[in-house]
Amino acid sequence: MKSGFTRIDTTHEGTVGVVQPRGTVSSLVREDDPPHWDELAGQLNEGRLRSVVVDFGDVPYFGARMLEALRVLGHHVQNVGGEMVLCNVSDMAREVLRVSRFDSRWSIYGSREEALQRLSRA
Amino acid sequence: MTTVLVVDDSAVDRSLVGGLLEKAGNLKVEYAGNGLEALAVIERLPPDVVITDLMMPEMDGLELVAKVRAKFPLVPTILMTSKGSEEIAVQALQAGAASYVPKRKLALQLVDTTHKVLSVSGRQRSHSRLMGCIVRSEVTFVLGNDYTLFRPLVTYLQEAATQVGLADAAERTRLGVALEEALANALYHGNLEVASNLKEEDDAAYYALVEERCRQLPYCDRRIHIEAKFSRDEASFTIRDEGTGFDPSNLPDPTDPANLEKVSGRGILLMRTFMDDVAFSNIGNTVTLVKRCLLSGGVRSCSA
Repeated sequence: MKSGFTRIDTTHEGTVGVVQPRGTVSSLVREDDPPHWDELAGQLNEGRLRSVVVDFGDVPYFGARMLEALRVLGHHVQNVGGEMVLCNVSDMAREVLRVSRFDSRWSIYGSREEALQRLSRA
Repeated sequence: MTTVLVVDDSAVDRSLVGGLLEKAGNLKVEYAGNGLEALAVIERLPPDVVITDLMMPEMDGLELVAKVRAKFPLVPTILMTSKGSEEIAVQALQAGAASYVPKRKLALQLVDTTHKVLSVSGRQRSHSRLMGCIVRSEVTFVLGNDYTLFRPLVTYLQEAATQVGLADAAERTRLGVALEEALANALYHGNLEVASNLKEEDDAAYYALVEERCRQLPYCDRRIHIEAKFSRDEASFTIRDEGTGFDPSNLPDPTDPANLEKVSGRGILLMRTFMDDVAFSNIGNTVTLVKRCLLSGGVRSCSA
């Protein structure tokens, strides 16, 4: 499915996919963006990836569109029995997650290293 | 008189730079030996411009540039770079430096660069002081379904709220999130009439329909009307789309555990959380968001 964002970098550390949105992830971004989640979902379904870290280090804040994208990505990961965690979440982004009750859905870590360490122990 | 703060850990270089500036006339020069000292000087009395070396103990020039930008946005910085540190100069510009001058070209470029930076920053400071005198303003925009204008519009409205003293940095961001959600709703669900539940059923179809309706009558001709009013006590934003409206009371509460998997309602949740009041018209195609500033014990503070 389309994520609808212009800049999302995806890499992997072993079987952990690392997703890094870039810039201000606004709810006003254009819709015609590449389907980043499709590729990630494919890798999850094929077993090449097992878990996902979403690194918000480059995102000062986000709104409902990002929440929706997280929900969908979280589903893909859950469907293959994996785990999704977040890291480098700014104070403003954390507030958005808290308000929407998403802060209890996924663990939030202070750094990508912490997050990767956690997933490697899982 | 215009004040310049020269920051360099080398006494010889401080003297050289200060001499060039004083010779140019009408510039009073102060000195600091590193970034930490410089910040202490700036805290006491902000200069009109800071000229700093890059490599210094305690706090280097790059870190000083970033800190000055964050704490004293109206004080410009100029970085002096040594040979081979052009890449650092780019980093400095990205961190917020107004300009840079290679040390080997100080005699040729320093004074001219300083005057140019002072000229621009002087205008910015005057503009900022003038904007601080605004006690009330009102503005109306009428936009088409043009994505590219919405972000600048939100930035404009955030700035206007900041100018009348309604929003500090955190409130400004919250305001921006709320306005973006309101505009997104007006565009996608209002003018283009693309319902959130379509995303639940078929995500690709949702986006395809958005693209199609952007080119199709009557959707493509619809406008979004934004009326913003600012005073020292509150800012109100009325956003009206030309769609058929909806019943906001039918939206599920997205924080109800039963609805966590639903796609709709989070935008309005964020609007209600980050604004003091959110009210929809009877037919639902107009929303008014209000942000207030509270006066308590003579000290202004903005409500969360």
